[in-house]
Amino acid sequence: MNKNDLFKELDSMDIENIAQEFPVLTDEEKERIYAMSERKYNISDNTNEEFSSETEVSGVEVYKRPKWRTASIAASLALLIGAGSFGGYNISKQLKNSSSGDDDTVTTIASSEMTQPSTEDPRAEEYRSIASGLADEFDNFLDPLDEDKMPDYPEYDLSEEQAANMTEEEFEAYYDNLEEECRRIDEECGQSADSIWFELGRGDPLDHANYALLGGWYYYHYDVGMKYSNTDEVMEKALSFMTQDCIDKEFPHLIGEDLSGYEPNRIYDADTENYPDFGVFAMYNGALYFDSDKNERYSRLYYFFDRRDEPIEITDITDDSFTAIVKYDFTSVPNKYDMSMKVINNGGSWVISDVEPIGPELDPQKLELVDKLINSCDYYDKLSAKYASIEKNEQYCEEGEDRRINKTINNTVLFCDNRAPKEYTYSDNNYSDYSGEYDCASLLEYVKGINANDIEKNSETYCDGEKEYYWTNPTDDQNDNGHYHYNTYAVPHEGDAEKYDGFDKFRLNKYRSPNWYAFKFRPMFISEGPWLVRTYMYEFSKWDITGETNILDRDCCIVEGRIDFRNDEMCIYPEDYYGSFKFFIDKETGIPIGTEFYAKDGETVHCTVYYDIRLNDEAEPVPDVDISGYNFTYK
Amino acid sequence: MTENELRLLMAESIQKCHRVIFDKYCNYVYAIVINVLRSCGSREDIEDCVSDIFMKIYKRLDKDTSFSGDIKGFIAAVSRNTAIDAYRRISTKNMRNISIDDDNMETFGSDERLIEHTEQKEQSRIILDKIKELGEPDSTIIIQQYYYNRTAKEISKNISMTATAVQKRSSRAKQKLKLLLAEAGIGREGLI
Repeated sequence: MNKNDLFKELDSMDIENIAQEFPVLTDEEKERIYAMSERKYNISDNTNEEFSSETEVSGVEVYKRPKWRTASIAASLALLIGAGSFGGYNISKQLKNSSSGDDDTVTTIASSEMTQPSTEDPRAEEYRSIASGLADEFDNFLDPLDEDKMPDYPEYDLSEEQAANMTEEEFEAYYDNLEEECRRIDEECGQSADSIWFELGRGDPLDHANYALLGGWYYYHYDVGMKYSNTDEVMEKALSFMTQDCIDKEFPHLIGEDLSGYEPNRIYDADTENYPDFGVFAMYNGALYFDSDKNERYSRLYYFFDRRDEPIEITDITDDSFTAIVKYDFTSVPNKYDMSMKVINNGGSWVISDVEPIGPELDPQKLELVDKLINSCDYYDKLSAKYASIEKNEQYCEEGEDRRINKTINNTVLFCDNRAPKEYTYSDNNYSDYSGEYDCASLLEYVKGINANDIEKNSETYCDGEKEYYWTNPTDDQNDNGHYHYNTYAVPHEGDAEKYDGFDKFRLNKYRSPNWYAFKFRPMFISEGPWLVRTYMYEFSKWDITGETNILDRDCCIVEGRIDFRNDEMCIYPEDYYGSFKFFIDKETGIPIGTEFYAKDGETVHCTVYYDIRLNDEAEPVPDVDISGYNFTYK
Repeated sequence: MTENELRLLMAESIQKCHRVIFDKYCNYVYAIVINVLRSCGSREDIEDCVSDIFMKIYKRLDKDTSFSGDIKGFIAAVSRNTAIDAYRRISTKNMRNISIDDDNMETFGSDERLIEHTEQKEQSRIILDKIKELGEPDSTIIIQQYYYNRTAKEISKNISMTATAVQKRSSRAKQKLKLLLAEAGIGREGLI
C-alpha cells in the first residue's frame, strides 16, 4: 500500500480527528520533543532569534495577529504586553511580582490562623516566617536570572477609556510601537548574549555502537540580567542561606573549573584528553556562564516542586535551631512529598543546615521487590524461556449488534544473553483457538500442549550485539510482498547505562515522569519488570504483596494493586479505563512469571506467562542468525 | 484553550504554561506535521519540526496571549506553515527540486488548490470513516502504520500487543478495509 495515497487529501478537521482519536506519541517521544522545544526557545531567546507572528511562517498562509477589538480585552492584556523574545522575562517579572503579592496574602492569612493554638511555642511564628524566606531562597537559588536586572520593556499604559476612544488604526499603531521597542531591546540585549557547549564521551562519536556519551554541558552568559557576575558571588549567595555542608550535599557540582583554557563547542574524549571539571556555574574568559541543564545535574538529589499554600510546620524548637516541614505538591523522590528543613542560627544569621524529603517509610520488602524487577538482569546472564499472552478487546460491531470481544493469544520463544548482549525471539499468533479461562493457571495449562517446534515463525527479533533486527513474515496480501525491517538504533551497552542505585534513588522529573529513559539504563532483554514498576508500582500505597505461590517450580510472590489512572491498555471497552492487577514475580530473578490485568468490573483483560525458564548454564544458547541473505529495507 | 485560560496559566508560570500547551496540542501538531512531511522527512525531521513549532508558539506567547477565540487556529496555522517550510528545506536538501507546482505541494498547498481537491478530500474522509469502522485495535494499527509511518514493533509497544499480532491484525484489517471501501465505491487499484 502506498502510504501517501491512502491519506492523500485530508482536511484540517480530519487531521484533528486523527490526532484526537489516534494519538501516537509515547511519553518518551513527548518528553524528547518538549525538551527540544524548550531548548530552542531558550537558545533563540539568548541568540535573539527574532520571531513574530508575521515572520514566523513563510509558507502559503501567513498568520495575522488578531486585532484587539475591545478595550476590555486590551486592558486584560496589560499585564502581559511588553515582553519580547529575550526570554519573556519581563512578563515573568511582572507576573512574579503580582503572584508574590498573593503569596504574601496567603502567608499573612496562614500566619494569623497559625497563631491560634495556645499550646504553640511563642517562637514558632517568627520561625515560620524565617523558614518561608529560606525556602524561597532555596527554590530560587539555581535560577541564574534576576528579573529586576532584566531590561525594562515599555509598558502598556493606556486606560480602558483611552483604549476605547482609539480607532482601530490608532490602537494598532500604539501596539506596534510597543512591539518595535521591545524588538529593539531584544536586539540590543541579544548582542551581548553568548553560549558555548562541551560534550564528553568515550570512543569515536561517529561509531555510535561503541561510543559512550558521558555528558553534555550547554553554558550561557548574558551581559544583562544575570544575578551574579562571577563564581565568588554565587558562593557568597549560597553561604548566605545555607551552611557549607548543606551546599556540598545539595549542590555538589555548583562551581565548575574556569573554562577559559578549554576549547568550547567540541567533543572531548574522556580517555585521551584533559577536560574541565564541569559545574552549574563556571567562568569563561572572565565572564560567568551557567549551565542550561542545571536542574538535570541535580536529578539524583532531592527536588521539590510546586510549594503548597499550606502553613509550614515548625518543630524541634530551640533558641538557635528548629526544623521546618515545608509542604510541596511532590518531590523527585518516590513516595515522599514534603521538605524537612533543619535551620540553625549561625552567628546571628538563620541558615539551612540540612534538607531532606520526607514521607512514609518505604516498606523494605517492597523496595527489594521493585529493585529486583528493575534490575532483573543482575540475577542471570543467560536465559531461554517461552512466553504466552492472551488478551481481550472490543471488536467493531454494527449498530444494533451485541458487543463482541476479540480474544487473541500469542506464543513466543526467546533466548537472551544479557552480557553479550544478544537476543533472539520468534513469535506466532493464533486468534481463536483459546477457550480456557483468562488467568495464568489456565493459560499455563493450555501452553503445556504446545511444542516450540510447532510455533510458526511470523516474526523474529534478533540482536547480534551491534544492532537490533526485526523481521516479519510477508502477509498473504498481494500488495505486501514482505518487509524486512531493521532497527538502526544502536544496542545500549553497559557503558551507556547509568549506574542503578536502587529504587529509592529513582527520580521523577518536574513533570512527574520518571527520569528514566532506555538509553540511560542498563541494557536488559526479556523483562517487563522496569515497565511494570514505572507504570503500576511507583506509588507503594497503591499495591501490596499479598502472598506467595509456586508456579512451575519457581517461587513467586504475589503482588496486587489498583490502577487509578486512565489506562487505555487495560480495558476491554473504552469505558473500562481503570482497574486492577495481580503479578506473580519470580523471587530469584524478578522476572514477572505471570501478570493478570482486570478491567473495572473485575473481568480479566490481559494475561501473560513466562514458562520453561532456564537460566545460565541450563539455558539454550542464543542461536546465530544469518542476516546476510535478507533483503533488508530501511523502514 | 481560551485566551483567559492562557492568561491565568501565564500568570502562574511561563514554564507551566508551555508544558500545558505542549501536552494539550502535541499530538495535534504532530499529526499536522506528519501529514506534510510523511513523504520526505525522517522521524528526526518531524520531531525537529514539531519542536520548532512549539518554540514559535512559546515566543508568540511571550509577546501577548490575545487570540481571537481559541488558540487552536493559531497553532494549526503555525504548524502547517512551519511544516511546509520544512518540506521545502528537506526536499531541497534531498535534491528533489520540489517546486510550488509540484503535485506533492498541492496536497497541502493553498486554499485555492485545496478547493480543487474536494472530491479527493471527500474520499479521504470516507477512508478515515471506514478505518474507524474497523474497530479497535485495528483502527489504531492502520492509522499508526499508514498515517504515522510506525513500524509493527513500535505499534506493538504502543498498544501492548506483540509485533506479530500487530502484523497479522494489520493484514486482516487491510482486507476488511478493502471490502468496506469497495462497498463505498472506492476501489482504486493500488490504494490498498
